[in-house]
Amino acid sequence: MNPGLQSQEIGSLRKPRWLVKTLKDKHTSEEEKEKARKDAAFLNLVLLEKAGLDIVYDGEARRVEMYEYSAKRIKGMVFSGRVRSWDAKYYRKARCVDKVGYTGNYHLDEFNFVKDRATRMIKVPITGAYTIADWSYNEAYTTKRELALDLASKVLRPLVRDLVEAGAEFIQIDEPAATTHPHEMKLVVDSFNETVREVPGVKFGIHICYSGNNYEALFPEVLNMKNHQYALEFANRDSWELGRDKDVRIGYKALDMFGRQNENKEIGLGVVDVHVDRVESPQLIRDRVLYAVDVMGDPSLIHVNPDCGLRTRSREIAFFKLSNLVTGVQLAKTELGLL
Amino acid sequence: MAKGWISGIYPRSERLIEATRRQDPKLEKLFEEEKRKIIRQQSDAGLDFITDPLIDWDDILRPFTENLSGVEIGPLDRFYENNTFYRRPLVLSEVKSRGHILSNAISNTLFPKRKLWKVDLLDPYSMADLSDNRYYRSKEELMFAYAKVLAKELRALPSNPSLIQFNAPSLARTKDKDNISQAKEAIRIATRRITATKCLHLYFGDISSTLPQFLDFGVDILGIDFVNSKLQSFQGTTFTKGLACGCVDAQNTRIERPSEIVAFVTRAVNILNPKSVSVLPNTDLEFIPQPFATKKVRAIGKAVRELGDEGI
Repeated sequence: MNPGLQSQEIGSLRKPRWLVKTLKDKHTSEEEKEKARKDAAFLNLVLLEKAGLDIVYDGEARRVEMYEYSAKRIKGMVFSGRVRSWDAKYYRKARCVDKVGYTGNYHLDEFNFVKDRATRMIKVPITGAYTIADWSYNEAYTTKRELALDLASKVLRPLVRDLVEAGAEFIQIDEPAATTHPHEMKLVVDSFNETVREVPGVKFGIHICYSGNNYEALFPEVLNMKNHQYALEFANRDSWELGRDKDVRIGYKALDMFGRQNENKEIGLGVVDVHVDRVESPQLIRDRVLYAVDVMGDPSLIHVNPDCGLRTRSREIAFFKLSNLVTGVQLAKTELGLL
Repeated sequence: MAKGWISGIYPRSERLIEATRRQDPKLEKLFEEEKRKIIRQQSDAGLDFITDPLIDWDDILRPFTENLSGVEIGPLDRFYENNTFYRRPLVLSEVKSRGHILSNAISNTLFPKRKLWKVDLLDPYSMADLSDNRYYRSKEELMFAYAKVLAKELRALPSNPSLIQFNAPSLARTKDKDNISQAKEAIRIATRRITATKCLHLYFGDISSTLPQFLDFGVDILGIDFVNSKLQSFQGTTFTKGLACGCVDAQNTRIERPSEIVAFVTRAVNILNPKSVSVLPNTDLEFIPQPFATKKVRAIGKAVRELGDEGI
């Protein structure tokens, strides 16, 4: 029985400065670097549990970046250099130069580490096939569709299976590119479904963020997606005023579309803006949650999370934001008589 | 004879990426050194029009966003369907320029003396479409305000470019006849009293259904992005302009062989029968790392020479 209104993390936390320094140090052995990664993963886990979240992971302490970490471990991909994201911010982009292949469970170590230490439920975030295809140069396949579906069936599905075999019960497939090309929505859905095909008994979420705030583009194709949860960003577009009316909760307008579908799928409700230091009050979180419960008509369909990973904020700010998120959820539960 | 050139922002080298990331105090000097190198590469590849690689522009609108009066720098926004973002211009009052933005933002003194050179700009419609208009009554009004600004900027250039290329991604994506018709007027305003050859490059969209409407624009050359528009769909079109054939994919690292480019351009000439033909990437090369961009520049140069040998 899903109790609803569970609080969950979405992805990465900012890496501690000492970790970055250690990883960049050419004189530090790989063994020492691995120890440092484990220390950071443990600290992240403690931070998330201390904040009071119901569903946790390791803040992606071992991953350089969500795309690069995965692409580096996929057969057929080689890195080409950096391209601009904006201003002086760049990311490394891979070329797909041969048919893609699975090289082994590249999240196994981090998963086992978290599993052995977490006292809360675990959710494993993995980067989805569509986003990897969209963010890579395709030199090996005739079409992007072929590349994305091969990534889904030959890389992501084996990865998911191996994670499930290791004990994963909840997997979040990150697809930040999902709505970048509205006309490719069928491919987003098909690649997701190929990834989760014939993997029973596991909860699958999809996380979509900063894709131009264009959730309209998801419909109607997304209704065919075999996911259990949509984890979405909303808070960055919302007002900071307290209140549960439509004209106050302007950032949550798109929620209506999900409410109308009666899909019985959960919403991972983004209630914390990850791009500002200002910390949302528990009362603001409460009002955002209660507004969403009203739209969806059932608290068991609402789970609560930040808009995206909090790596853009200091660890201190991230902790305060998450702590207030948890307190706000408690306030909402109290009003709904769920406590 | 076929001609060749590149457009828009060129990728920075790894060295320059690092320098911009750490805000190197020698950044200005490094930009100039790298511009000289890229300009030399264009010249060595045999390109017919040399262009400023604009590696010191943080996005294709930024010199205007930072320097136009009436405009402030807004939040990051996705640049069309790319994993690349730009700062949205916030238009808060009447848009005005003193006419020195472009001349300050282009290093035309670095161009080889005997080479023809070109200027790249977004067209007024795309500029308005990418802005957050909080002052003018409509996007069209803002577009005309931008057109007047561009006219002033182009006339204020200290020496004359031989080619002015308006890059028009938003225009390539619209299917609205009224929008296209008004954009035509905006181009007319922007190019008033300009004698250089004018090119309107339509990229990031499939223009197979809208091409006829662009044929009476006051430009000499129309650029088509053949990555997004299928050549075959133009079969039977009466094409009355010069063709800028955007058949080199600026968003993929696969390097086109010169013979492939030649074959494509030959087919395009057979189908469209343009007044002239030139070869260029479908969009700015900044979407691929610099070593790949350099190879594409060389491939364009070789293809243009081969086309010349074949009498195209």
